[in-house]
Amino acid sequence: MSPAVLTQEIGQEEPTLTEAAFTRLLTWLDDGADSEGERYLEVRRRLVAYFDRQNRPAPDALADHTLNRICKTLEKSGAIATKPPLRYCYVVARFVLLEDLRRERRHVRFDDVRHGNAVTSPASADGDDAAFIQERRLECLDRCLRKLKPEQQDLIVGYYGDARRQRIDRRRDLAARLGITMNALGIRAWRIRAALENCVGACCKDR
Amino acid sequence: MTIFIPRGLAQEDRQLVRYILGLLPDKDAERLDEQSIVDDEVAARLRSVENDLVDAYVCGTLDGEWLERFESWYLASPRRRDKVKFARQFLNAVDRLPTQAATAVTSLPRPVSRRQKFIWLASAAVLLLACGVLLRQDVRLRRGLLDAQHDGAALDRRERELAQQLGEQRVANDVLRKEVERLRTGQPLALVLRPQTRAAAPVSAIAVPPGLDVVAFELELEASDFSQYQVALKDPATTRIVWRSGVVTPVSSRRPPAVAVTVPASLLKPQHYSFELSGRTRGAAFDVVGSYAFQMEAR
Repeated sequence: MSPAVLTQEIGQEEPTLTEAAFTRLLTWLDDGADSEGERYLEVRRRLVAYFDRQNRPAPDALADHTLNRICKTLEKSGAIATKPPLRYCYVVARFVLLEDLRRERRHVRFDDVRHGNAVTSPASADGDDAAFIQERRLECLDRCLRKLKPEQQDLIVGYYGDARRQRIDRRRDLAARLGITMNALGIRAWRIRAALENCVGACCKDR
Repeated sequence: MTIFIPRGLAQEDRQLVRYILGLLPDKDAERLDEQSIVDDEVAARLRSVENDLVDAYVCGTLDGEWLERFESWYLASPRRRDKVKFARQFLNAVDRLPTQAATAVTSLPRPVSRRQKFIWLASAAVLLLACGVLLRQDVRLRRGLLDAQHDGAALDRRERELAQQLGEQRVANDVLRKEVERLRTGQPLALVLRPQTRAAAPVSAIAVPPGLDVVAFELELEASDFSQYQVALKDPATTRIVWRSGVVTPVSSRRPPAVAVTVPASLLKPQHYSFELSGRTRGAAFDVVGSYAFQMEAR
């Protein structure tokens, strides 16, 4: 397969996966456990973050492309021997990254500013638009916060509240009060924050 | 460097901050690239450290090399800029939550646009108008309330009167009910008979309602000369004694005094009867002292 074909594949819309192929991917990612799709979502989040840290302009598309490629491999060969499954995901993601970098080198003009070194200014929309967008996001955040359970609100207040002061001791106290480790507390807090972030994103798209 | 992140931050976390800011050598960065996907713990820790880093930037507690790198590297990605925007709003919201967590999240402060200002002013005008209307309605309602209270007091009085009447009626009904019950259970009504005189007087006609077991009679006395009496019911046609009472004492509380007897109703046929009253003093023999005739009607 030539590099040109690969870059073209990444840029193009992915062929739709069959339900059977997607189910096989979910089963493979679960690796014996039944996460009801949670593992897939988690892996996708990690892949998006990975491509984003590499300053790729379309991290979501690259993450989807990685998972689609794994899906096709599973469909063709029936199984993937590499364990754990996430290690294989990383290997495929690295290939996808290299392919994307190669594609960029072929298409980006010499005098273009390199994305990774550029300080991109915040959204260039004019003042009114920016205010409108911000207003909409605040309304969405307001709405999403209302959906949280009281104990979730308490947790994020304890974990993220009053950020200017030392948080470490407060978090330690909070973890002790809840009878969980700091790591577990961090994961809980992150889940709530991520859910809020997703909720705000979805809300802004809908409105 | 006086920033939030480094204080109390473990060496591993400091390394994660450097990784997020693209400050690690390639070899270390690649190792963390892999771990950020493969290792659950590192992935979770990385997210947590990244959030704290963003929060520190938003709160202005980041400076020096890390601040410079944050702005030149981290903010290069639209997705990460979105994270910063979200963090700014999120932290603002979280800091408002403690006073609201027990109830509900109230609206968050937001910038005021001209359109909003107009809406607020219009809303205030409408509110003012509504207040005026409500004030008038309030006065009218208060007046109505006073009238209603006055009417209510009159109604209360009337209600009390009716309740009293009702109570009296209930007592009367109760008496009647007991009387009816007494009749139903066979307790006799007393039929008063006066002693026969020589003058031709109409004979008392008695109709006994069906269902009675006994018929009570009160035989009025001309004088209470005896302490004990006995009554015999006679059929005048045959002079046969149909029924005889035991020894009875006069009802002294009654005026005039009388002797009360109850006769089994089954003995009474539609015909003439007469009671023959005998009296005696204690220890003496009975003497006939009077006679009481009556006509028994068909039931």
